[in-house]
Amino acid sequence: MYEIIAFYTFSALVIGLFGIVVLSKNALYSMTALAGGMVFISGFFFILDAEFLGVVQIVVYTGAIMALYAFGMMFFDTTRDVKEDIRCKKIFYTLSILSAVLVLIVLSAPIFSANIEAIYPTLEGVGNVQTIGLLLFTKYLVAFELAAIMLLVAMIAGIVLVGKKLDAQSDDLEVAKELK
Amino acid sequence: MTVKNFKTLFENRYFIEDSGAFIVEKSNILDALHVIKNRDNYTLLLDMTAVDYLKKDSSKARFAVIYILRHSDFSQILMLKVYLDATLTLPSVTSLFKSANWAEREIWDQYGIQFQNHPNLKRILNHKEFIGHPLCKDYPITQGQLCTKTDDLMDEMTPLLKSKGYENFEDLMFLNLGPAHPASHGTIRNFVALEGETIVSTVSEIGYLHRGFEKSCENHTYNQIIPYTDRLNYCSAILNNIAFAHTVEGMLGVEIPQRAQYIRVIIGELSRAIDHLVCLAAMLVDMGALTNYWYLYNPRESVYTLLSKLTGARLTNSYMRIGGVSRDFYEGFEEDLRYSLKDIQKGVGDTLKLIAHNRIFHDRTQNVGIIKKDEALNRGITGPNLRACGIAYDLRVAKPYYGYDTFDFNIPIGSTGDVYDRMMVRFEEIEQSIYIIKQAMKRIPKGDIMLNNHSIALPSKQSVYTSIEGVMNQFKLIYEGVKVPSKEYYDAIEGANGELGFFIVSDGSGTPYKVKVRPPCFYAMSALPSMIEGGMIADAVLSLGSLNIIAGELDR
Amino acid sequence: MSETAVIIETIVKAVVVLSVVAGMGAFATWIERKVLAFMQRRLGPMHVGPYGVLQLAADGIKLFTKEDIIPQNALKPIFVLAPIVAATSAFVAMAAIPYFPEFTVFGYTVHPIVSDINVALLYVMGVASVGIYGPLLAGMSSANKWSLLGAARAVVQILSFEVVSGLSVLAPIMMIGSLSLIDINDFQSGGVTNWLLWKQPLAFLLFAIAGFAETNRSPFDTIEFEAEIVSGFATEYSGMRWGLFFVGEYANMITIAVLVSIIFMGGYNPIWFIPGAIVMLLKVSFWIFLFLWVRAAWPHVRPDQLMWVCWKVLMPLALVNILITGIVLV
Repeated sequence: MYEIIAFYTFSALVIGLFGIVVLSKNALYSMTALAGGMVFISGFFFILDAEFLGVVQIVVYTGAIMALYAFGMMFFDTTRDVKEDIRCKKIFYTLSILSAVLVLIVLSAPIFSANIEAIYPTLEGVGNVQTIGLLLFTKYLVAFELAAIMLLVAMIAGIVLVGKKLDAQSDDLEVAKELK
Repeated sequence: MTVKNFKTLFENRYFIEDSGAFIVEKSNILDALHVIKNRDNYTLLLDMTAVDYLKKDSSKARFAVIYILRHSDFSQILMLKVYLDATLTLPSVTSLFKSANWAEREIWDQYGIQFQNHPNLKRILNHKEFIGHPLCKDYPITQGQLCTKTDDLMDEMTPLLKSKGYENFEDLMFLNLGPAHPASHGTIRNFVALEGETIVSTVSEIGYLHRGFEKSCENHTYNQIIPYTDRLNYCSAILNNIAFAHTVEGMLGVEIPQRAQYIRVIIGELSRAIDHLVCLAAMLVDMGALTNYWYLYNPRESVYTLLSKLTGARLTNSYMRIGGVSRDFYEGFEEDLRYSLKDIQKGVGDTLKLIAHNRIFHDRTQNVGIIKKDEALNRGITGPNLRACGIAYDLRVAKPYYGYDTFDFNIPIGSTGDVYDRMMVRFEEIEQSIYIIKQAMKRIPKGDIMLNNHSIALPSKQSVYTSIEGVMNQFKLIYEGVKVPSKEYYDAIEGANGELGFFIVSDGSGTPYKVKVRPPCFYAMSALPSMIEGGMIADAVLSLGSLNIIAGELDR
Repeated sequence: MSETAVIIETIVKAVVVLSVVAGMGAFATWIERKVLAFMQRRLGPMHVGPYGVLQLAADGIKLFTKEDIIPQNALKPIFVLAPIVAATSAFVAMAAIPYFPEFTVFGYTVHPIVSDINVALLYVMGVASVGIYGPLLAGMSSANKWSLLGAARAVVQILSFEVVSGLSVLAPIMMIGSLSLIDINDFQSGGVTNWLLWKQPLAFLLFAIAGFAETNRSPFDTIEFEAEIVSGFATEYSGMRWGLFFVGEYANMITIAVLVSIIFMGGYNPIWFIPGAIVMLLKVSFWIFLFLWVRAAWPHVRPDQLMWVCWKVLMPLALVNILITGIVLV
């Protein structure tokens, strides 16, 4: 009974918050609602006894949205509404409705065909940390390693790009000093 | 340098006036300053001011501008004087001395004299909406003006940023550090352009505490001015008293009694010590080292208790008089002084124990807010801030007064001119001041504390109540003031922040014709932007604190 | 036990934890003022109650009755939300912390933990990290440049130090093989010599340093340091809204103190004749005292120096520590 109450509460919260994300014209409202929605999604994981995933959801998404905030802070006056400049409204609406329908179909297909089934049901006595660890390092090892390498590459690329920019700036400064 | 040398050097282009100032033609002033600076080593432009001769003797010209320079041996002073024609313009000397920048702005503000080729000639002490030039003798002092608009300072900021290669300012954040900021130590406004938290460029605006000290002085007798001087650098009020009294006594050509001199040394050094305590305590709080605040302020409190017993006031003591000091030490003063000195030493020792070997403190202060030797001299910085750059200039040694040459003490100097050096120089100066006080207390002679001259010192109450002569002396001195012979005179002592000088023009009456104070902060403050640009906000706060800017003296 | 009973028990525990920690937080403000005062040769609060102990009540009344000011240009909903987020996340994080050993009252065994989940450590650190949304939202919605600077500093500082605290705590986790705080506690049950402090001294130091940074305590108090950025993210806040930030901050302090005590200092295992609950209280008090002691002794670092320390010193050290632990374990 309590699980159902919790489920519907969280559902309502998540849907409401994501609604704000889409509908609000203010970047700060949208981002805050997004962060809130992501945190409340973790509630579902806790209801399903997937505590590890729940916590990871919180940790990962709060961090990720923080980056959005950083961008917001840099590029916008977040206390003001963003003025949307839609040049061709027809294409805009067609595309958004089409993609919405597409997402709906993709997500509801398994429900209609009724073949949702847990491939790895939770085991009594084994925490889901262990289960996830076992899966990641056996069945999905290659994918996991590939993802890790990609992230590493992205990180190094980021450092190199920023580093180059900094070097260039200091070169510019030196040239400017010489010119003076 | 004697007068003769100058005459030969400058091929009779300059001649000396009674006041001791060399008269320079308006067209020659840049050349003259160039030669004086580069050939004769008068490298420190101490102060610039103007005199309005409207009510004195305007036969030569109504306005004259005066340049006060100090030789690089720091003992000799040279004054140049330029009479202005009716156009009221003069070439700017900012290309030779950076200290002239703000000084010329002040003259423009107060007298309406324009300086050609000045980089930024705008008002500095008065509000930008202010009409007229208040130090002109025909400015009605009762005229009130209501100024309401704040200066957005973009007129200074925009060219500054353009010169640094910024075309549009969208990536920058403009921020007002002050006038009401917890770390601005008074009402000083630093308008900064930030990139992230790095300061790209800074414009300082001062004058929030301008209360017309110099104009007020022109309407009060010499002794009435002493309470006003208290409000200049209120952290060491007595040193201001001494500087003013010392200058006026110099004009009168009198020397105060030995005991009074010793009292001035003792109380003056005590004031220097508490001034440094305030500066250091406030700085350490700006750094977040909160405990040191109480370690340094508690001894200051004990000194204030001592001073209030001695002078009747804690902060604005008004202890000096023209011709001596207002009252002698009370019974038990020596004991109290010993306790206070012990307190100071304990506080300083405890603070140093907490910070001297602290890595965070070193990282925060070393190589932060650096000002180089030559730059500091060129900017007119004096006192501990100059000594931190490695220049051992201290008026107490360079041109001893009150027998400072007979005391044994050292001048601490720094090496890099960063915040750390400025702090450590102050810590050491406190020690040296205590050392001087101890020597002086041992040697202080008995005797008078005021000149025995009834045209300067008030008669004793005994004679006021019993003799007609005493009554008349009292009456004349109170109503007309000490009569100072007509003169133009500059003298200075070593204030807590640097050379604290007074340039006074007298006309033979009991009130000065013009008083110009040379506040050491004023010149230090003008160097702040160059110190903090390129640093972080946190560094800017420390740099400002380390210069020990006192708004009362800065804005007058 | 029926589902309803569990729910009721949990609610009771939550209320107890909330009120006790909030009370402790309030009391800690008095302790802070007193301890700092004695270190700084002054008396601290003296006038309200004996030794000023009722000062808390006076402060509370002041906070509640103060005018609640919301700046005209601020984004009101976010502005209102921010302090709530800060305080809530700090308290929600405490749900998975075991404070004392279990005890029996009227034949009913009480587990002094609101919810014993097996990833408790991760949960506590993860949820506590949500707390940085408090300063962030406050700073971005206040329409004040000082607040914005404070928010930027908060994000940079807390995110960076979460990396350090996460990595440093990984090495002990590898040794124990569990994320449950109860398991971690039981791992060190053999007396003082079994404390993880001795086996993982580097991790302990790193975690403690990161703890100072994450709770925004001196010498890493850059987020709302008044001499530089006035009051940082809290510049525009007054009254109880500001009070919520304050409570959240103290709750975070207590959380960090409890975490360090459990992970590295033997948790609530009894020492000699002292029962576990008292041991835990002593440890937490010691850590709170240490927070204050450091505040009284040291100046602050500059934000860029803080980042330098984090990324160029602490993080590599944490990685090396993990590597060494891994090699030793294998």
